[in-house]
This record gives sequence, C-alpha cells and structure tokens, in this order.
Amino acid sequence: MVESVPLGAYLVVAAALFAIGLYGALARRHAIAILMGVELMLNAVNVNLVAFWRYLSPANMSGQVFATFIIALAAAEAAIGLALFIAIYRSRDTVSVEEVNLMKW
Amino acid sequence: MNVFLTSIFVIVSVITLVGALGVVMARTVFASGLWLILSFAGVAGLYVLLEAPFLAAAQILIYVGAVAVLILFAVMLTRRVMGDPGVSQNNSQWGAAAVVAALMFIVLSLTSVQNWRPSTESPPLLAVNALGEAFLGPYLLPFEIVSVVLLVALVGAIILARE
Amino acid sequence: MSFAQYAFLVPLFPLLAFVVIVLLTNRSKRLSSNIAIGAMILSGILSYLIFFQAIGEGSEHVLAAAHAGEAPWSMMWDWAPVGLSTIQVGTYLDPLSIIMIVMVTTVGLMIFWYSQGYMNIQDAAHTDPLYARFFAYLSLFAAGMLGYVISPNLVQAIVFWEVMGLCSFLLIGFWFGKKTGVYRNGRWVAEGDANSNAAKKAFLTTRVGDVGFFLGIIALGAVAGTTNYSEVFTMGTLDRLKETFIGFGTPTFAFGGMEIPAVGIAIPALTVISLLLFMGAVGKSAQFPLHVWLPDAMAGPTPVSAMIHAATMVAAGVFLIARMYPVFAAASEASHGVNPLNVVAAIGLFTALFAATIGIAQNDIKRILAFSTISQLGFMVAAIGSGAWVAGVFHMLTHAFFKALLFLGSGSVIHGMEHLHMSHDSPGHADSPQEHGSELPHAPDHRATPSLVVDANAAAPVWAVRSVANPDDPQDIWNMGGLRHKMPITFWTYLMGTLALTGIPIWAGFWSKDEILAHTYETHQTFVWIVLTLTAGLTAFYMARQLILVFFGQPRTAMAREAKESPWTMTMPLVVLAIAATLVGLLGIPDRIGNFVFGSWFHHWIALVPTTGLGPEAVIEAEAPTEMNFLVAGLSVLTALVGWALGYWVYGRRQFTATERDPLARVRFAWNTLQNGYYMDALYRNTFIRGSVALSNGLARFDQRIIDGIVNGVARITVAVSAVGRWIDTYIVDGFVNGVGVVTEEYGRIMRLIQTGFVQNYLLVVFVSILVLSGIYLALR
Repeated sequence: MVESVPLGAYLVVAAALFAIGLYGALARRHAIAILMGVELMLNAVNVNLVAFWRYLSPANMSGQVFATFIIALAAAEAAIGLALFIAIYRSRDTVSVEEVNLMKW
Repeated sequence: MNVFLTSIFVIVSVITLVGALGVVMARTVFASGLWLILSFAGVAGLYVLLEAPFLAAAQILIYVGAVAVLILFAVMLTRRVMGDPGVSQNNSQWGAAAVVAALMFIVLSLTSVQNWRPSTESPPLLAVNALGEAFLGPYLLPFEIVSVVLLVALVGAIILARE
Repeated sequence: MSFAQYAFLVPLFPLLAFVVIVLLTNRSKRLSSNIAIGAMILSGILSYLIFFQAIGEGSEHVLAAAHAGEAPWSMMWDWAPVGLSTIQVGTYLDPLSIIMIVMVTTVGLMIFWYSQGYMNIQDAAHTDPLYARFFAYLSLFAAGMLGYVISPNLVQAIVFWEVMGLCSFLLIGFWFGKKTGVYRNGRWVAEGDANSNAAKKAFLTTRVGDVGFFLGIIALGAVAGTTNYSEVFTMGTLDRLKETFIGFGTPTFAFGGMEIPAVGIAIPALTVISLLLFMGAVGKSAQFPLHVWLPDAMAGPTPVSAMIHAATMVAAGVFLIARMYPVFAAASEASHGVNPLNVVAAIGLFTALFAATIGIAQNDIKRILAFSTISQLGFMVAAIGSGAWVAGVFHMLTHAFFKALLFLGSGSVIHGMEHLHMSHDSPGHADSPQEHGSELPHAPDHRATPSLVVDANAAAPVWAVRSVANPDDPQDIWNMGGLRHKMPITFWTYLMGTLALTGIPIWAGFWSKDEILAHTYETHQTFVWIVLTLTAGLTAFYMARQLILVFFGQPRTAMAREAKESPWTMTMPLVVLAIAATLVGLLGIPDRIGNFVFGSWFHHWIALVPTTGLGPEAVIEAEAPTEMNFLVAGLSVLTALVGWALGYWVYGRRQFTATERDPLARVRFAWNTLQNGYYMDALYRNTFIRGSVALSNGLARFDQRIIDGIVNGVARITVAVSAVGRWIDTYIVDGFVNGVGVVTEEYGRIMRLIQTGFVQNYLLVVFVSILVLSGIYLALR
C-alpha cells in the first residue's frame, strides 16, 4: 500500500481539494455555499493529517486523533453556522453575504 | 507497486475532486449540497486507502449522514431567495478568487512534492483500540474539551435558530 | 488640697460661659445671663477659697517662695516651643494676683447681677435684643481679665490683654446701630454712629500703646531669654539686664589684631523695656497722651463702663506696672540716663491733675466719672512711679469698688431718667427686636449722648457743642435734680461712693489716697504731694457738683420728675458695692490707728510681693507700710472738705433751671477749654488723623500715578507681546495642529474604503497575504 501510492500524491490531492474549497469560500454568494467550501477545506486538512500519520508515524495515533477532533469541531461549526444563517435570513430576508454588510464604513 | 491500489487511489481521488468541483460550480445550492456528498464519500474512500477505517466510518456517519443533511435542510429553509436557477451563484470577486485558489494549489503542491521518507512501520493491528486508548490516555483533556465544545455549540445553535 | 492648683479654672469658668452662651443658649436670654452669673459665682468662690487658703498658709510660705525665686502658688505648662526656649502658660499666684482675682470676681459679679436689670430682663418688651450676646461679651471680658492677672509671663498676659481689648471694643460698640444726633439750629439732627466710632477710637488708641507693650515683650524676651515673671524677677537676671544694652549698628569685631569699634548706639535694655511696657499701660489705663478714648467709651452700656472702663480693665495697665515693678525698679537703680519710674510718676501726676480739671466742666454724668477715672488712674500710676507701690495697688483695689459703685449708680440714674420715655414708647418699637442694625428698639435716640459724637471727618468737635441744653438727654446732669427723693437707694449708695472717691475718712478712698500722699510726703517728693492733694480737692469739687446737681434741689425736667427707682436687680448690687466701698478701706488702715480691726493687714499681705526681685537675696518688705501722718491726712481731708464746700457754694445754694449756663462758664475761655478737654481731641484730629488722612491721600496719589503707571505700563507691554504671540499661535501653531488633523482626516477618508463590509473580501486579503508570505518563504528557501 505504502509502496503503491507516494505520500506526495495524497498531498497534491488534498491541496487540490483545499484550493477548490478556498475558491468556493471566496467566490460563492450563498452563505451556505461558503460553508460548504469551508467544509471541503477542512476535509483536505484531514486527508493531510491522516496521510502524514500513515506514512510518517503509523505507530503514533496522534494524526487520527486530531482528525477526529477536527471532524467534531467541523460538525459544531456547521451547526452554529447554519443556525446563524437561519437567524440572519429571518431578520434580513437574505443569505447573500454581499448584502450582509453591516461592517461597511 | 500495486497497480490495482494505484488505480483505486486515482479513481477515488477523481471522485473526490470532481465532487468538490461540482460543489463550487453547481448552478443551485441544492445541487452543491448533493455534489458535497459525493466529495465527502470520496474522502472516506481515501481514508480507507490510508488504512484508517474508523475515520472512514466517522466520515460517512458525520459528514455524509449528518452535516450534509443538515446543509440540505438549511438550503431548503432558505431557498426562497437564492434558490432560483439562472441567477449567478458567484460574487463579483470570483475571478480573483480563482486566481488565488490556483496560486494556493501551486504553492501547496510545490511544498508537498518532495522526497518523503515513509516510515517502515505498519499501523497497529487493532488501530481502533489504539485510537480509543489515545483518546482516554494522553488526549483525555482535549477529548473532554471537544465534548464540551460540542455541547456549547448545540445549545448555541438552538438559541440562535430559535424564533 | 490646694485650691491654688485649680486657679486656672478661675478664668476658665467665664470663658466656658461665653462659649456656651454663644453656641448654645443664645436664644434664651434669661438662661444666658444665669449661665454667665453662675460662671462668675463659681470663679468667685474659687477665688475666695484661694484667697483664704493663701492667708491661712501665712507669710512664711510666701516669703520662702520668694527667696526660692518663684511665686508661692504657681503652675506652668509648656505651650509653644520657640527656638531653644518654650513659651509657657500657667498660673502665677502671689498676694497681688490673688487680691486681683478676688476683686475682679467680686466687682464683676455685682456688675453681672446689675446688668440683668439694666438690660431690662424684667420687662420683656424692652429687653435688649442682644441681651444674651451682652452677657457673652461680659463673660469673655471677665475671662480675659482673670486670665491676665494670673498670667505667669508676659506672653500669656498680652493674649488676655488683647482679649480684653477686643471685648472693650465689642462692648463700647454694643449699640452699634444706634444713631446719635446733635442739637443744631433748634433741631435734633442725626449725626453719626457714636457707639461704633467710640469703639473704633478706643480700639485704635489703645493699639498705639499695645504696640509699645508688644515691642517691650519682644525686647524683654530677646535680652532675658524668657518673659516668665519668676525667671525675669530673679536678682541674677535683673542684675545681668542692668548691664545689658540693646545695640543698633555693627558690633565690635577683631580684625588682624585690631579692634574695630562698634558703629551705632547702645541703649540700656531695662530702660527701653520699662518705657515700652509703660506705653502699654498708658494706652490701657488711659494715661495722658492716650487718654482720649476713655471718655468716648462711655457710649457703651453703663455696666460696661463700670466693669471695663472703671473697675477692672483700665486697672490692667496699673497692674502691669505693679507686676513689672521689679523691672522698673531695677531700671531706675541702674540709672542709665532716663529713670523710667520718674517718667511713670510724671505721666501719672500730670494725668491726675489734667483729668481732674476737665472733670469740673463736664455735663454728662458718665463723662464726669470717666474723667474722674482717668484722674484716679493717674493717682495710682503716680503712686507706683513715686515708689508707693503698696499704696498704689491699694488704691487700685478701693477704686475698683467705689468707681464701679458710682458707675452703676449713674446707670441707675440714667435708667430712672429714661422711665418717662420708656413708658411712652410706642409698642411697635418692640415688635421686631431682632432688627438691631437698623433701628434699636430698646435704646432709641433718647439714650444718645450727643456730647460723645466724635467723627473724624466732622469739621468741629461735635461733642463739645453744648450751647443749648438738650432737653432729651437723660445723661445730662442739668436735666436732673432732686432725684434723692425719687431714687433713695441709688442716692444713698451714690453718696457712699462719692464720699469714698473724695477721700472722706472712714470711706475706702480716704485710706488708700492718704497712704499715697503720706508716702510722697515722707519721701520728700513734695511737688508730687502738693499736686496730688490739689487733685484730691478738685475731685471733691466736681463730685460735689455732680452730686448736688443730680440729687439735690428740685427736678429740672419732666424726665427727672417722672424718674423711678430702679428694680432690685440693680439696687442690690449697689447696696453690696456701697458696703464694700465703705469698708474695704479698713483692710489697709495704718497700724498707728487701725490695729483694732485688721491692723495694716493689706500692707503686710501685699508687701510680701518683693518689689526688688525674687531670689535668696531679695529684699522683702523693702517698702515698710507707710505710717499714718496726721499732718498729711488732715491736709487732704481739709482740701476735700474745701472742695465739697466750694461745690455747695457754687451749685447748692439755689435752684437752677435746665437751660441755665453753668455759673463757672462765665470764665468763658477757661470753661470752654476744660469742657473740650483742652482740645486734645481737636489736636489729635488736626494732627494725627488729618495727617494720616493726608498721608494716605498722598500715598494713594503716588499709588495711582506711579505704581499704577508702572503696572499699567507692564500690562501694555504684555498686551503687545501677547498680540505677537497670538499671531504666532493662530497661524503657525494652530496651522500645524490643523494640518495634522487635516492629513489624518484625509488619510482616514481614503483608507476607510478598504472596509467594504464584505466578509469574503477580507478572506481574500488574508489568503493573498498568505500567498505573499509563502512566496517570500519559497523564494528565500
């Protein structure tokens, strides 16, 4: 298995996944789409963590542990984020972040 | 070099990346959500290939089973405004975003492709057992804190979303 | 138990009464006066206890203490450290001060008692609106006098001395709102504020003497290092001071083996100190150059005149000379140039005769007594100055009693004379008793004494104008007459006082006055003796004039016809004081005839105060009691009788009318001179007052033209400089500041455009930054 696929391949896949997620977070108008981009970025990070664990220190479970933590935190983030969007939607009738610009000058 | 495994890796990777591209390219948010499920599943496949079955299961259960469904629900709750197909889903800075994302990919790839020296060890025979011992051993405190965070997030979400 | 230990309580009781009345019981009139009287009774009881205990301990104790160089009963506490020494406070009791506290509390108590009636406490409608304050002032005054006489040093003494001065001021001006008037062109016109003017005059005139007193204290403290009597009076200190000189100019100093002589003058310290201290006594005891305030002080309420300006405070100056006698004596002994005791005697002698002559021509009942007081104080000063120390102190004691009696009697007469007006007062007058400042309900104009108005700005001495009798003046003896039937108690007590004052045997004044005369005769100071005897004759004359015009004949005005005897609160003190004035002289009957009662008790007692100083070698009883000299006594009695006879001859043979001129006024020039007090007031007005006003005007002009000119010039320069500064400020400093502001504002206007409020924009910036940093990292790797 380790001999079949080099570590760099996983990393490049994860990098691509991260870049796609970043594009989603930066370019999409819908707030939930942004959230999806962020989820993709988090998955990319998880892939990295697991790949490093497997290739560099399989005896130490730290990689998987951190990946698990990130999954848990991502779930929490998704729950909070979606609750926020629903609250914004109720008060402003929109979920487009371009129109949510209270912080503008 | 096992061609079979290599080809499976390529297939799974393609599924993952195609799903991800679908997420960011879809014309409706609902479609994006569906593409997201595909991408999550691909990542789960990667975990399997990386000999982390527990994480693969968790990925399926949490992401595909919970987060994606949650997202789809949210999309449907708010679809009245943004759901119309034909309206551009991208904002005014999408070009710059694409450039930045591409540059980010190049930078990350450049740092990724180097001469890694993989360890010759193999993972523990019962990796799940080891993982459980790690959670309740050296990582007990973070583990507990994460559980508290989850609880707080739960309560916070309820409060925020409450009418 | 030694009561002398508690002597500090003697002044403390009245002081507490003052505090309590002012702070707490001001509203309640009767309570206030009761507190004041109670405090005086306590002080009096304590004084008498001290007195009798001191007598009981006997002369041996006093003598032993004197030889040990201290007062027999003395207590000291540290008060304020000054340099290397410490100013102390305490009590200093020797026979002199014990006699004084007994006298002050006794006379004071009588006067407090009397004041209740005088201020009409029995008649609520006419009670003085500031009745409580009056008793507060009286108490404070009593505290001042008692504290003064038991002072152990001059520092404490001047503190209480000034307390007395303050009280004198406050009490003379007690009816400060009263407008006095003058009779001009047949009309009674408002003239001025006699009371407040008199108060100011008294205060400022005594201030002149006080400056000397204070300088004397400073000089004594400087050369002796202390003002404690027990230390100053030691023979050692006095002997050292005799050879001390106060120098002005450079001291001698050695320079390269050469002695550079001093440049300047050196004056004998004791002489200077004595004369300066005597200046204080001159001011306080109204001696010749500074006597002018005392007659005007009669504007105050009569009990005040009795207490302060006859019996006690004016005696403070005499007491000062008596107390500091060792210093005076040492100064005379050292005999460097001027002999201070001779100065004292000369001033006293002159004042005695001078004031007695003025007394002849006065028409105001209180003014006559005022000049009599000045004259008698001159007697005491002359006595002490001529060496009759014991006799002078004795005269101070007897005088306090009979002069207090006379003043209170005159107050009673005035009170009786006012009866007519009092009963005719409209009730509205008493409606607003608190309006003290504008109009005085109790003492309206009719109590005014126009002959007392002294206004520095008036063209002529107003008080001197009595070309026409003022028919409303209750103090003018020409408006009285025949009062002995209307006011019998007042008459008889007044008669006792007059007899005592004029030196008729048995009565107090005779014994003390005769002793002074005998001493001067025995010591061959013949001139002094003759002048004082003459003065005694003049005294008898003017007192006979007063007595006859007030009490004998027929009433000359309606006021006199309507006069009523005063209430018992006023007559009882008169009776007590009359008895005292009659009998107090018996304390000092000379041995030759007096052994059957007290012997020459007073001499033996008071002579225990060493007059030459304290210490082992002090000569006690340096002045043996002067023996009765029948020639002197006979002559003085004869003179007094001649005075009485002349008085009767001039005034007693027929009935006068109120508007009639005085028979003696036929000698117009002499009469006017005397009535105007030798024009001393006019003299002072035209020299000191006009002079100081002119000087002030000159200085004011100097101030306006030159000082103000300089100040204004400086101001103008400052304004010019400021204008330049303002231009710089406006265009350069402000420009810079505003420039900073404008730049900041414009920068902010541009930079705020970054804040789009578009979250993804921020995220893009974040990742661009990450890319930049990564690029740098990769490039540098």
